[in-house]
This record gives sequence, C-alpha cells and structure tokens, in this order.
Amino acid sequence: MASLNPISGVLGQQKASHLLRRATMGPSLQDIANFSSMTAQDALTALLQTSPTPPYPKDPNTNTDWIFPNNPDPNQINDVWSDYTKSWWLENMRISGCNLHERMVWFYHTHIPVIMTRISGMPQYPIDYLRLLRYYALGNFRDLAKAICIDNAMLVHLDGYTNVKGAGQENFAREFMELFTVGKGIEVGIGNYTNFTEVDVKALTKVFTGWDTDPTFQSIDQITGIPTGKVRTSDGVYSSQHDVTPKVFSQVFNNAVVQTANVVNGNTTLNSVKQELNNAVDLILNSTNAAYHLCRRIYREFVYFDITPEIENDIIQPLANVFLTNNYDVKPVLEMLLQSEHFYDLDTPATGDNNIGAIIKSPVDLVIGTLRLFGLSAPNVSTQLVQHYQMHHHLIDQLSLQGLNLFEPVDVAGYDPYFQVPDFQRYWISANYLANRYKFAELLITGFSGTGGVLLKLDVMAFVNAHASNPANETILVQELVNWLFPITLEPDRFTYFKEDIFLNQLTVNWANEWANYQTTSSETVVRAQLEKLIKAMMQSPEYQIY
Amino acid sequence: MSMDRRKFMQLSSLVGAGMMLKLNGIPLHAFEGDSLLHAMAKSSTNDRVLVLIELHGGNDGLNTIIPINEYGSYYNNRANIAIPQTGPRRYITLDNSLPDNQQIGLHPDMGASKAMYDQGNFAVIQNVSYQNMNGSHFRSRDVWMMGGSYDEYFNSGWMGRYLDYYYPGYPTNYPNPNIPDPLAIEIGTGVSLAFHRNDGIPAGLSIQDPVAFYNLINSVGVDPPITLPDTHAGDEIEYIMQIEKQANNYAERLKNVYEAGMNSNTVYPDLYPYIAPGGALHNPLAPQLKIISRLISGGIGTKIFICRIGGFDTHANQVVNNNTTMGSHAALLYHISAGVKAFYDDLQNMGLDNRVLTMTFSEFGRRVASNGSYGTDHGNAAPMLVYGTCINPGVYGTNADFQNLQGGNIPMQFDYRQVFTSVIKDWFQASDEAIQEVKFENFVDSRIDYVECKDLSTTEMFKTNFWMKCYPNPTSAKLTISYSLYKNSDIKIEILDLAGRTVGLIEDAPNSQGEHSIDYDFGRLVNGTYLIKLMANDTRLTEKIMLYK
Repeated sequence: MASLNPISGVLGQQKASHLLRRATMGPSLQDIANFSSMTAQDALTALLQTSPTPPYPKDPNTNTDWIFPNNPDPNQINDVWSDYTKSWWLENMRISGCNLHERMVWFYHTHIPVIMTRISGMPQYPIDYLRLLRYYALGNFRDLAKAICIDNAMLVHLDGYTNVKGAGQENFAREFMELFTVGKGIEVGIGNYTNFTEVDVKALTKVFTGWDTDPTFQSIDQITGIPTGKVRTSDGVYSSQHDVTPKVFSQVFNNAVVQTANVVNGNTTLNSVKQELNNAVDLILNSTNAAYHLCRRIYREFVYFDITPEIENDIIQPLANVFLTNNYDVKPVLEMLLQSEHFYDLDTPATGDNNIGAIIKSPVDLVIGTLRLFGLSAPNVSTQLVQHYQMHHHLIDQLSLQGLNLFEPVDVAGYDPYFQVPDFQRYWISANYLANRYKFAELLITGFSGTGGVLLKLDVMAFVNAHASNPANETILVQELVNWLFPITLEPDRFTYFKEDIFLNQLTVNWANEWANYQTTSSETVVRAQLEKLIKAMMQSPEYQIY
Repeated sequence: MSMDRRKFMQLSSLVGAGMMLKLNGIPLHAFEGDSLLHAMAKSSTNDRVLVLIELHGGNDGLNTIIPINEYGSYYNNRANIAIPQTGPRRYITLDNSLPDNQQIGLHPDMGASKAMYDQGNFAVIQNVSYQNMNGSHFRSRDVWMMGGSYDEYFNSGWMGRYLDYYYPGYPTNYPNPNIPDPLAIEIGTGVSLAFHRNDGIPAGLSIQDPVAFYNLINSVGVDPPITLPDTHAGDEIEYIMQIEKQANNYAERLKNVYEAGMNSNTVYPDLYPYIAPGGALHNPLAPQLKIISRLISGGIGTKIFICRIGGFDTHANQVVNNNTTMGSHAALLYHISAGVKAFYDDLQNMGLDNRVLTMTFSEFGRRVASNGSYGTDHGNAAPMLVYGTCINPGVYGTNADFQNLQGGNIPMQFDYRQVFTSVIKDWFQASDEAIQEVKFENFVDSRIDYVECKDLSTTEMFKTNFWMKCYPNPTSAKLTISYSLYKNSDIKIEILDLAGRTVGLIEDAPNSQGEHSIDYDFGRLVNGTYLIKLMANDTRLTEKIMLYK
C-alpha cells in the first residue's frame, strides 16, 4: 500500500537529485551535492524557505520599471511589455534559490492561470498577479483564493469587472469553483456537478457583483501590499453595483445563505462587500472537496499524473486531511508528501508503480532546468539589458515551439497537460513538440545570438572541465553525465550506445590520448566535437524528457 | 422525430457534365453494373474524408443562425447584441421556401454559406447538444470528443475508436504499403483527445507545414532505447518513443504527398473586410483548410482532419457597442464561412469535392439572454454547420420555442451522436460492428440523414455509359483497361504512382462513343499501388491498381 510515512537517514545523491528535480526549477550539481548529506526533514526545512521578490523588470526606453508610482512609457507597445514581463519571470526561475518557492509560483499559475493578452494594455497587472502568487506560494491557499478574486488581472481575465447587480456575469464564479477550488465532480443531475451546482454558480456570481479594476493602483491590500481592484461606488462610501439580496447556495453547501451586512437603500459599505466575498470563499473552502482537488493537483505536480484508487485512498485522502487540519496552509502538505516513502518509491516492493523519473518535463522544466543544470547565465540585466531581453525572447520562442505559450494558455483552465484527461503530461509530447524539444539541444550547443554576438550557449568544455571527476576516462565521464542528465539508470546496452556508438564513434585515436593531447596542447577541436556530439545526443533522447 | 427537410428541387438541373466531375474519387473498382452503391456499402472503407472544425470556447449559435419566427423573443432577450432584421447589415434569410419554424437568418458575414446553400452544399442542424449539457468548457469538450453521455468517462475518443476498428493494432505494422498515411491529422501542433485510443498513442498526428515538419524531424533524435525499466518512467519513455516513431514514419510521406499535391487558383481569404479587434482580423482557418486540400489532392489516404478556430468564449464584447453586427464574433463567422467556401471552390476545381464532408462543432452554445458586457454566458444547444457537395442541403430540426427555454438556454433537439453516427454509417459506410465499437449503435435509427451523394445523378451517369474497369487487380504485368464513352471524346489515360507522379501515358486510346478495351504492360514498373486515370474531355475517372510481380 502506498504510504506517506517519512523516510529516515541522509538522502544520498540519488534521492537528493530526485527531490530537487521535483521541488525546484532544476538543481545544479552543487545543489545536489549540498543536499545529499541532509535528511529528508532537513532538506524540506531548507526547501520551504521563501525568497524575496526580485527587482521588477526595466523598460530599456525609460531605464526604469513601470510599476506605480512609475508610469509606463506611453510609446511602448503591449507586446513588448508582455515580453519583458515573461522575461522577468523566466529570469526569476533561472536564478531562484534551491527552494520550493518558484516551483509553487509556477504551480499556482498552472492552477489559477491568467491569459496575458486578455489583460493587455495594463502592463502592471500581470506583474501584480505574479507578485500575488509569489506572496502566497508557500502560504495559505485560503488567503490566496480570497485575494485572487479581487486581483486586477483576474478581474479582467475572467470578466469579473463586468459583473454587476441585475446583469450577472458568471464567468469568474463558475471557474472559481470548477477550476480553482472544489473542482468539478461527476454530473449527477441537470446542473449538479456533485461538488457544486448551477445554483451555486448563480449565488456566487451575485456575491462577486460590484467589483471593478483599479487602474490608479490606489487600492492596496493591507496584508500583501499589492494593488487590488475596488468596489464600485458613486459616493466613495456605499457600493453602487453590488447585489445585496441574500445568496442562497444549494444543498451541496448545506443550503447556506450568504447575506450582505449593513444594507442601506439597496447598497452597502465597501467593506461589507469585501467581507461578504471573504465569507463566501470561506464557505466554498469549508468543503473538503477543495482540499481534495488541490491535493490531486499537487500530487500531479510532484509525483505522477495517474491517480489510482489506491493513491486516492492512501495518499490524497490523508494529504487533504492535513491540508484541512492546517486550515489550507500548504507547507505541511508539501512537507509530508516530499519526505514520504511513496515519493521515494520506498513504500512497496513492486517497481511497476515507481514514480522516480515518471514526470514528463514541461517546456519550462526542460528549458530552465537545462540552463540551471549546466549553470548557464543570461546577459547581465544591468549592463546588457537589451541583450538580456533578446536572450529571453529566444527562450520564449523555444517554449512556444515546444507547446507552452508562456502566460498565454489557450484555455481559461490553463495549459492542457495540467488538466486534460486522460493523458495529462503526455500532451506535452506531440510529433512537433518533441522534435522542437530535441532541436533546442542543438540550438543551445550552437548558441543563441543577438545584437553583439552570442547571448546564450552551452559550452560543453567548460562544463566538463568544471565538473567531471576524471574526464580522461571515457567510462567514468559518460557515467557521470548519465547521472547528471537522466533520472533513471541505464541498461548496459543503452550505456554502451551512448559511449560507443555516439561518444567514441569516429574517434581515430582513443579518448584518453585525445584528452591528454588537449591538456598539453590546449587544442580542443577534437574533444569538443566528441563531447558536443555526446551531450547533444543525450539531450535528444527520451530519457532527457523526464524527471 | 420531426425532420421535415427541404426537397432539393434543383437536383435534376445539376445532372450533367458538372455532376459527373464530382464522381471523381469514388472507388470504381468495385463497380458492377449499377450496383455501385451496394458494392460501396460492402467495402469496409471508402476514400471519403471528414474535416471537423472545432469552434473553441462555445459558439453563440443564436447570433450565427437567427430564428426568424421567434425574432421578437430573440431580440428582447439580447437587445444589446441582436442581429438586426433591417438595414444593410441585417441577417441573410437562408431560404424563403422553408416552413415558418425553420425560417432562419444567417449572420450578415455568412454570405459565402448562403451561396453554398444555393448550390446545394450547406446544411444546418439545429439545437445539437447532449442530455444534461455540462456548463464546463473542458468537460463538455471531452464529452463531444469522447462520444459518450454526460456521465460517461472514456479514455478514448469516438474517432480514435472508429480508426481502431478498421486499423487494429496501430501503431504496430503501420504505416504499410496499403495504409501509408496517418489515420488522422490535426492541423496544429498538439493532438486533442478526439484521436485518443484506449491504449497507446493517439491515432492522429499533428502537423503544420508538412515540408518544415519533415525537415525538423529529420534533423533531430537518436536511436531509441531497447530495454525499458518496469516503472512509470519506463511507461513515459515508451510513450515518447512511440510518438517519435510515428513522426519518423510519416514525415517523409507527408512531405511527398504535400509536394505531389496542389491547390487550384482559388484565393483563400485572409483579412476580415471590416473593422474588428486586432486578434480577429486574420483568418486562422483558411490556411489550415488550404493544407488539407493540398494533401487530399496529393493522394493522402487520411480519413479525418481536425482544424481548430478559437475565440468563441464570448463572455464580453462579442459585438462592439454601437453595432451589433460587428466585432470579434462577426469576424470569426466570416472566417469560417469564407474559408470553407474557398476550400470547396478549390476542391471542386480539382474534382475532389465529393470526397470531403466538413462540419463545425463547439462544446456548447450560449445563453439566450445576453449579459451586460455585450457578451453571452455558457448555454446549451447550438447549431452545427455542415458543408459538402455530398450532402442533402437544408435545415434539420426547428427553431427553438422561446416560450419553453430550459434555464434560459436552448434545449436539446438532437444529440450530437445522432449527427456523428451519420458520419460513421453513411459517410464512412462503416459496418454495424464498427458502429458498435464506436459506441454509437443506439443512435443508428435516429441518425440524421444529411449525407447524400446525389446518387440519382450517379446512377444517371452510369446509365449513360461512362465507366472504366481495370483487371486483373492485383496484376502481375498486363492490365486490361475497359471503358465506355457516352459520346466521342478527347481521351487521355495516365498511370500515376501514389505520390501523384505520372509514370505512364496512353495517348492513342480509342475515343469514339461505345465500349473499348486496351491492354497496358506494367512490366517495367516496380511493385506497388498505381492509379489509372481516364480523362474524357474534362471528366475524369480513377481506379487504384496493385502490381505484384
């Protein structure tokens, strides 16, 4: 039976690699070395440290950011801001510390996505949205759920700002329940999706009436310090568009009624509108379905996509209980899962259900993880800002070619592989996407160029010189690369394939001599060619697509 | 079920050279006397193609197809977005001769669909949905793709199951000389649920530009591993390997077919001719249809194509606030209507139109009443648009009764499986067993009979003695080509390989009215499948021949 019992003892290299590949945006070799001597418990303590929000991106036109009180350059075009914002985010991932923080920002984006073109024209909104995800990434999901309702980006993205009394706009209320919180269960009757009903969509829509965006950034959340939307008002004291009638929920929520307090002449105080929203979100999150829904999503992010009845029973249920007991604080859930016997394949003797190496990398994991593994850096954000953006523009293109249009999912549910049954992560793999993942390896070794030359390049010589323990010995060298690049051990025939058919192929003299020759003459042509061939081949294999 | 449909009165006037052209592509090798239809019904597969256009997001059916007899209620429910009855941008009345409860208007930007209707090539199936329509985009899309009920959860799509029946064991042993092409193609970069089979990789392949695809596939990759670990990691590697193998297997073939194919001189539309939001100006569908047309003309054997056009989740601003006939939804309808018209013009120019059935579908329609933001929320039933030269044009079903809405939504009149069962049974001519495999057996009796190849005209044509027979088939060397001409004609007989290249030519074949027989020696050609193409004036007949020495 699958088990959440914690493992004991120091992790060692294999378990540390597994943990860091899943918990971070990809480990460096140094990170793995550091964590190898830790226990799982110590590792989790380290991984659960938060990191501060990096400095905001700069617009090269003004050499400053465009976050209030700074003004966006009126001559700048929307797509360019979008590009800069995406660059900022990718850079945050690349430079993030060895912790869960950035991984959970990404997780929450895939769970509560926003489509950037839907909020185009307001370049601060997507940054505030990311700030919000970052603020609560390792915090309390209940708080995040309340805050996202009145986030400016979300108010536009799911049309919440057009939801007014008498003319309800259901878009946000529906997705809030279906996607973000309780999730959709089996449809057991007309308009009854087990975990919520159409009655609840209408009731919650009324709760959410009367909110507007605040493009002046004067409404600030007292806790997060991040700008929010605001309640529509004509006199600054009372709401003007909020529906104050009682909101009656279905039997799924025990026929609860959410009331508006302090009603005066059909309106209420601005604070009461907000209080009512919080009450309604509490009502939704008091449903255990929300904890289950989130824990399934977390399981798919960190373990594997296939949730069998055994996993539902042995893993999801206890995790959801921990989530509820801790009032939706996400840390205890992550802590329990990531140091469990199940996570490290130590709960059952059978191997058929083993999960190490069983997640297909998202394009972000592939691209950013590769940069982090090889320790590649971007053009300096202070001294080479233009080149810095050029490089990230290449990366954004690469992600798109691999099937991830960053910050632009086709659906309001987000990117297909995170929700689409039956194959989930396998939707990352189509003939096109896979070929472009392989192509990325070649492009990275050739180098991405822009104004003033090469912007990003994987220098295999630098990497091998810095990390290989005995580069003159081809067996040791290939074995080390296999350990670093692949999450699984290779069968002997496969190891031989990479070593003999790829690495040593077409080598006229033996490798040890070639390496010795390079050491004495500094002429690297031959050894570089062989190493590039090997590393490119390894990155163009199915084994490199998983972690 | 009420299915008063318009009798297509103009039919007889279309019988003639024009109709004969449309015969091209029907497999004539099974033809004996005038039992063509019988013979075709017996064969497990024919050469017909289905093109599905997914309107992603939930199309507002009521602003696509306007119910004229309910116009007052229609207007009152959605005054801020209603398509007007008068003025230069009023709806286009489809057909005055239809009964009142089938009187419909097309959105003013759907003039091309009206033109196709007048040619007998457009049908509307009203109020399609399924019981307990699910208001979720995602679940509802899954239901349409899976081919089940609201409470059924399959791990495969209905198209995947159909293909699985006729091509069992895919991808093992595919491609092969008889089935050299992908079973299904999605134009785009990812493969949707529709093509998923119960086990293994999807039956469909996604491509954009076939030539670029080939070049990309051929520039990357290494040998796959031989032994896989018995873990979930091994399962994922195996999945990746199979997709990779599928790509390798088909990349060259697709490039060859694409290069052997062509488009006619039809101009596919690009820009919406009026003002619309920037993202909606360019036609995203037409280039997809253009690729499909070219692949078909290149001789591809793929049965199902899916294209996708997004932007239908119009909760807000589906029309602009000073003109309800303009905005993003109008542009989308224009793109579909004009794009499909160009597609059929192109196919018709190449004599391929009778092989292609095209239809739209969307996860759901939208609420009857509009909201305050010039948009509409998720609803229930909506019309499907069916295009093709092999259909029975008309309106199937009736306008909804606005006094009996269901929670503010249009109730279901047809289950979507009634529509798709006709595709499987009447268009693909699948066997009962196959239909059972698809899980549509309960919809056979109630399927909608919009598929009709104007068989009268086909029969007429055979009665007028224009036919060709080639035997023996397969042949080891000598082939006898018998044909009959209904009048003296300019004759050319070509032998083509499957890539469309001419490998043989018979120029001095007898050309007088009556029956003729000539022999052709295949001795110099290599084993494989060839096409015998008889051209008499502007009319063509084609037959497939296998050569086994």
